[in-house]
Formats: sequence, C-alpha cells, structure tokens
Amino acid sequence: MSAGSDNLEGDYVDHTDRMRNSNTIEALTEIENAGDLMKGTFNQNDLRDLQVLLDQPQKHVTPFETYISYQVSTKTSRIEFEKQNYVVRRRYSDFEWLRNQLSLCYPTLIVPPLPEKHSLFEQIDRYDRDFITSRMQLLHRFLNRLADHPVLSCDKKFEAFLIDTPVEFSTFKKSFAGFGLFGKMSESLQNMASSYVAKGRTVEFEKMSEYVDKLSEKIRTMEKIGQRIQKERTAYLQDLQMVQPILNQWQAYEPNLSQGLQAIGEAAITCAEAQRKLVDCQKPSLSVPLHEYSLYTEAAKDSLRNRDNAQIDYEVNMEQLCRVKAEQTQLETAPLSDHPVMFGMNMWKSPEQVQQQRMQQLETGASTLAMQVEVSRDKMECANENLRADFERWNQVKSRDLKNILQEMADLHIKMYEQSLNAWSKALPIVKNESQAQI
Amino acid sequence: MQSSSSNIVSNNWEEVDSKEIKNLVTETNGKKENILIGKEDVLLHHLDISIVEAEKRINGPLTLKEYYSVYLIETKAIDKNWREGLSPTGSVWRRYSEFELLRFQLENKYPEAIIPPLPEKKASFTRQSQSSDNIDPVFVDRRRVGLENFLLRVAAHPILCHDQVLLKFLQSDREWSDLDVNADGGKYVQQAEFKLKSISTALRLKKPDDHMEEIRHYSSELQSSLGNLLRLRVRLADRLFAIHKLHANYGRVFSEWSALEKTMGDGLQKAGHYMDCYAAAIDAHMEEEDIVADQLKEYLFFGNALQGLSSRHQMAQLEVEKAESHLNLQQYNKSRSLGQDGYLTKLWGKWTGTTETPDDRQAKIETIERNIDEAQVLVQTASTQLSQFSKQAVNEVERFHQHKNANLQESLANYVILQMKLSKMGLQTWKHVKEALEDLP
Repeated sequence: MSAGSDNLEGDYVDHTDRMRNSNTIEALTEIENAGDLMKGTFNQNDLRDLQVLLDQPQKHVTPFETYISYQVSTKTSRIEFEKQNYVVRRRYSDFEWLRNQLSLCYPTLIVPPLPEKHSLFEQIDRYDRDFITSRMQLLHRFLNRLADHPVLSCDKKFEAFLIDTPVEFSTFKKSFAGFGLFGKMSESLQNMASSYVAKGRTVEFEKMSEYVDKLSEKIRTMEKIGQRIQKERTAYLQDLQMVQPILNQWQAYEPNLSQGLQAIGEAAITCAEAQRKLVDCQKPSLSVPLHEYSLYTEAAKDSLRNRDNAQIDYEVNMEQLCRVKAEQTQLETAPLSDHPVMFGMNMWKSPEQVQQQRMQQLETGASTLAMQVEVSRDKMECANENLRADFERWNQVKSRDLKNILQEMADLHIKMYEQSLNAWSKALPIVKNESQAQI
Repeated sequence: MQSSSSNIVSNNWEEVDSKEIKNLVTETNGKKENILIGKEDVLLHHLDISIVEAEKRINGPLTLKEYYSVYLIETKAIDKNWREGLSPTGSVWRRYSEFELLRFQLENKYPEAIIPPLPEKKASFTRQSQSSDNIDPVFVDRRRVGLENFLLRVAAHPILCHDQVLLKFLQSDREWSDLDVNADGGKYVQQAEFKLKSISTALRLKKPDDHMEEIRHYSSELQSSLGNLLRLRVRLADRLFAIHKLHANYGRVFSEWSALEKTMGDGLQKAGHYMDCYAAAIDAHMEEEDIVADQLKEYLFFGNALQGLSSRHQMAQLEVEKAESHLNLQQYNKSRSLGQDGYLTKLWGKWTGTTETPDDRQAKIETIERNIDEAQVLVQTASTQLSQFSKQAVNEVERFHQHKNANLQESLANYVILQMKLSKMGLQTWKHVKEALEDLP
C-alpha cells in the first residue's frame, strides 16, 4: 500500500506542470505501470448492446473542493443512442444523484448499490490510490449492472448520465431539483405507514423478504470470517518471513546441515510469498465484491419495503372505503337517533336533513375513495409484478456472482497451496540427500 | 489440545488419536535405528528397551494429594552375551524423579561423557490449544516417548551402557541406586554445589582450552537458535491452527446458507462439508508437528548436556592449574630459602638475633623439596587426567555431532514432509470446494 501511495504522491508533484485541460486537473492516470488498473479496455468478446467502461480517475483541485472524477466510456448498438461511442467524465456525487433518481422512480426495482461513502472511521486518505481503485471498480460494476438491467438501462436519466456534456448534464440535473422535496415527503409518509403492518401480505413476498434477510446475514457473517482469517493470515505470513533469518543464524554453526536449513528457509520464504498473494487478492476479489452484495441485499430490502408500502397504501384506502360503505348501509337500515354524534353537531337541523346530508357526503367520499383504491391497487399490482420480475432476475445474477466470488476464493487458495507444495517438494530432496551422504 | 478439538470436531477425535499413536510408534522405531549409528558393541544390541505405559498415581494423605506419573519400562534380552548379565525380561515402574536421579549419577560417574538430556519436566513452547498441565495425558504420553528416547540413547552410548546402576534401573525391581531415592535433600545440595563450582571455574581459569571454549560457544548457539526456532514454530502453529479453525465458520455459514437456496443448496452443502474437513485436519497435523518440535527440543536440551561436559572439563583443568600454582609456590619458597645465603639476609639475621642454624635451614629445604615432589606428582596426575578427559571429550563431541546431524536431518525432513502433506491437504480440499461450486447453476 505505502509504496503505491508514495508513487502516487511522487507523480502528483511531477505532473503538476503538465496538467491537462485546465489548471485544476491532475492526471492520476499518467502514473507509470498503473496500466490495466487505471486504464481499462472493452472486452472484445462482449456482445451486450450496451457496455460501459469506467477508468482513468483524475484528481481535481479547485479553490472550493478537491474531488476525483472518472471517465465513463459507453459503447452501444441500441437505436435509442445517436452515436455508438460516448466518453464523459463523472464524479461520485453524479453517481449518487443517478442512483437516488432511479430508486425514486423505480421504488420496487432492485437498484444496484453504490460503493459506500468514505467513512470517517476508516481513517484512510480519500485520495489514496487503493481507495480510488477499489471505488472505481465498484462504480464500474454499478454502471454495468444498470446497463444489463432490462428496465433501468432504458431510463432517460441513465442515458443522460452516459452521454450528456457537463453543461447539458448539470441543467438536466437541475430540472429534477424538485424531486428531492417530494422524496422527503414520501419518506415521512412511509414512516407513518411503517407503523402499520400490512394484513394481506402474501406468502410469496413474505418468503422473499425472509430470504433476503437471511442471505444478508450470511453474507455479513462471511465478511466477518474473512476479515478474521485475513488478520491471522497476515500475522502468519509475517512470522513465516522470520524463519529464514533464524535458520541462517543457525546454519553458520552446522556445516553438515547448512544446505538443508537453507532449503527450508527458502521454502518458507516462497510460502510467505504465496500467502502474501492470497492476502493481497483477498480484498479486491473477495471482500469488496462480497461487501457489494451485502449492500445489494440492502437494496433488495428497500424495494421489498417499498412494495409493502404500496400494499399498505392500498389496504388503508380499502379499509376506509369499507368504513364508508358500512356507514352507508347502516344509515339506510337504521336511521336517525342511532347517530348521537351527528345529533350534537347539527342541533338546529332536522334529523332527516342531517341524514340526507350525511348520505350525500358519504356518497361522494365513497366514489373518490373507490377511485383511490383503484389507483392504489393498480400501483400495488404494478409493484408486485415489477418486484417479482426483478427479484427473479436479481436472483439469477446473484447466484452467478456469488458463485464467481466463491470460485475465485477457491482458485486463490488452490494457487497458494500449489506454490507452497512446490516449494516444500523442492526443499525435501535437498534436506534428505544430505542425510544419505552423512550415513 | 483435546479440549478444543473435541469441542469443534468431536467425531474426528478418535481418528486423530489412533493416528497419533501410530505415528509415535513409527517415530520411535526410526529413532532406534538412528541411535545405533556407531559400530560399538552396546547394550542396545542385546536388550530391547521400551516404555510401554504411563500411569497416574496419587501419593500422600487425602488432604495433601500429590499426583505423579509412573512409567513402565519393559526390557527383553535379545541375547545374553553381555558382560554384566541380563535378565531375560524385566518390567519396572519408574517415576520421573528416578530418571533424574539416574541421570545425575551418570553425570557424576562419567564426567567426560555427554549425558543425553531428559525430556522436560514441564511443557514449554506449547501451543495455545495445548494443555500445560503436568498430568495432561497428551503431555504425559509425549514425555513417555522422551524418556524412552533417553534410555535408548544411554543404552546405545559406548561408555554409559556398561553402567551397573543403569542395568539395575532397567531391570531390577528395587534398590537400583546407591543413593537413596527419597533423600532428595542430599541430592539437590550436591547438585547445587556442583553448579556453583562450575560457574565459578569459568572465571578462575587462567588458560581456557580452545576446543572446549568452542564447544561451549557452539552449545550456546545451538540453544539460542533452537530456542528461537521453537518459539517461532509455536507462533506459526498457533496462527495456522487459528486460520484452519476459522474455516469451520465458513462451513457453518455454507451449510446454513444451503438450507436457504433451492438450486445452490447441494453445492453449498458440499463446500461447507469440505470447509469443516479443512478445519478438522489441522488437529492431526499439529500433533505430528509437535512430535518434530519435541525432537528439536531434545537437541535444545542437549545444549545443556554439552555445557555440562565443558563445565566438568573446566573443573578438571582447574585441578591442574591449582596443582601447578601450588608447585610454583613451593618452588618459589625453595628459591627464597636458598637465596638466604646472601649478605643482607645474614645481616638482618644477626641484627634481629634470629639467625638460623645451617641444620635448620637444611631441614627446611628438605621439606620444601619433598613438597615440590608431591606437588609435581599432583600436577602429573591432574594433567594426565585432564588429557584423558580431553581425549574422551573430543570423541564424545565427535559422536554427538554425528548423531545430531543424522537426527536433526531426519527431523527437518519430517518437518518438510509434514508441510507438504498439509499443502496437499489444502490443495485437495480447495479443489473439492471448487468442484462442488461448479455444480452450482
């Protein structure tokens, strides 16, 4: 890590005089041997009609703020796009905006998660090379998950995000400024509704949400286990590196054993190297993707919650309608004095009048409520349908992704053990040969 | 060891146990061959020695219970062509302190020999999961192996194997020692005296022997290197143990997870099973690695034995130097007495009125000369003793190195083999995991 960041800092100074475009941009990409990490390429074998590539992070320093932007390249054959290739630059807050918009517009779709905001607890440099690389990879995955999504990939905001020039994009963003307020309102409504438990929650969604809860718990446990193993392994490999110096010291006094001791020391170093590789790969190829899935399950939980809210909405409306209907029938069958409440309020009116008025009120109330019920039922059914489809799709993607993560984990271990086995097998004849020579 | 492993993989415990025993057996067989490198005719050629069993006993009244372990030594004569005469079979119970006493006697009787070390009284360099309890069965069993090893080494030693006390220790039911076993006080005083002497001799020696200094130096290097190595080994073992055991958590998560999934269930279940195996396999590995560590530890203690030898050599040398300085003193006295013919002395004598008669002087000189003769004899015997000691010590050291090289080589090779086995196991496990995962949709 330190080597990388040193390198970064060094280049940072070197390149200040070579700033591109404006005098506020520094090229992080011009770091030598940054190679495939910082500059990506489209996979030629990729046949998807919409492909997005995120690379070449740049640091921007303005008098007000310092931030990192990433290059978003798009390659597409969809007819909705005028051109086939687009290149734009976007910063993290743009991604955030995009995701917020999408989750507002499609509350019951599982919108892919963004990497978490930089947390103060971690105490790492926000412009640290590893942090940027890891965030860039996650943002890349985010965009491609959107591009692969049948609904989200056709969204206008996503399209604008991919192709708009900076000016276009910022005016486009402003046109949605009101949305924020609306979002907050609906949130408070949601909070109100959350105290209400949907009655007719179907078994299907009950199961889904139970599954998502459990899966997210499993993933979080796996993350924790991984961290603990990582910690132990790091300490282990550090200790393993101590073997050679100790053996070297001993070797000086054991002329007859020296070759064997040397061979063992070398094997230990090779093993330590193999362990080091495993430890280094752990974060980018295991813990980060796993953590992304932990966030993804949160997104799934959100959409499930939104669906529940749609149902609650419908149920509340339905209940009100029922109450009105019940009152109507009651007034029809048992008129007058059964209604003391009405009485008190309308002392000077004749009971008949009151009843008439009330009936009218109920009539109009019932018709508007019936409409609302209709609307909310539609919404709910829409939500159900959306979520059902998206959950199915998400499940498939999830199985594939998790399988890949686990296989990657197995592969890394296999590699590590192959190297270790090799190292020890090489050492054995040297250690043994000597003993034969002795006898 | 037992407690932690039985918690996690109780079903695997028996398997581990039997494997361990099997391993110990092969280990000791290997040792016997290794110990017999020389061509000398030694007791071990004529007598089969093994410690077959250890038993826990309780001593003292109920309120003051003292637990100790006794070891059953079984001997069987292969042939009877041995000077001291062997019983065809023997089986005796001895406790650790008796071994200590035997070793102490051998040390006193044969100062010029490197007396093989005893296994440790209390477990050192232990892993976290090991019990440091003195009567822990695993520890007692490892000590049994160590004590047997000690007997084998003594019986294979060209000098020590002829000792009568040793034979009695191995075969006769009681009264094997000249010293009283229970007179612990005397023994320890003697030992303490011996230690004190050897510490101070190093300071008093005028002309340390180069060869012995080298041995001293070597032994301290051996001790520090092996000490460092063993300490590191324990740390590595603890870490590795933890890493493997943590994988059991993956096993748990996988199998719980498999219950959630319809299509992934089977593969996850399998993968979880392999993770459990991965965690369980470390127990057996560590047991085997502990045996190798014990072998290295023996040589760590051999360092002490070497130092004992060098201390005893220093004492022998001190004897010579003492005799020499005594001789020098006598010779100086003589020259002073002869020098009294001088004028000044006479004057001094006259003036003080203490003039010696010539007869007196003659007598004095004669005594001095007698003393000189005696001192010369003393110097002579001490020197011959020292040179004999040195010669034998050189042989001993030579022999030690030969055995050490062979034994350590074997231990190191075993260590490497163990690491290979572990790597193979890991490789196999993760390959299985990968296969299981490939079955996933």
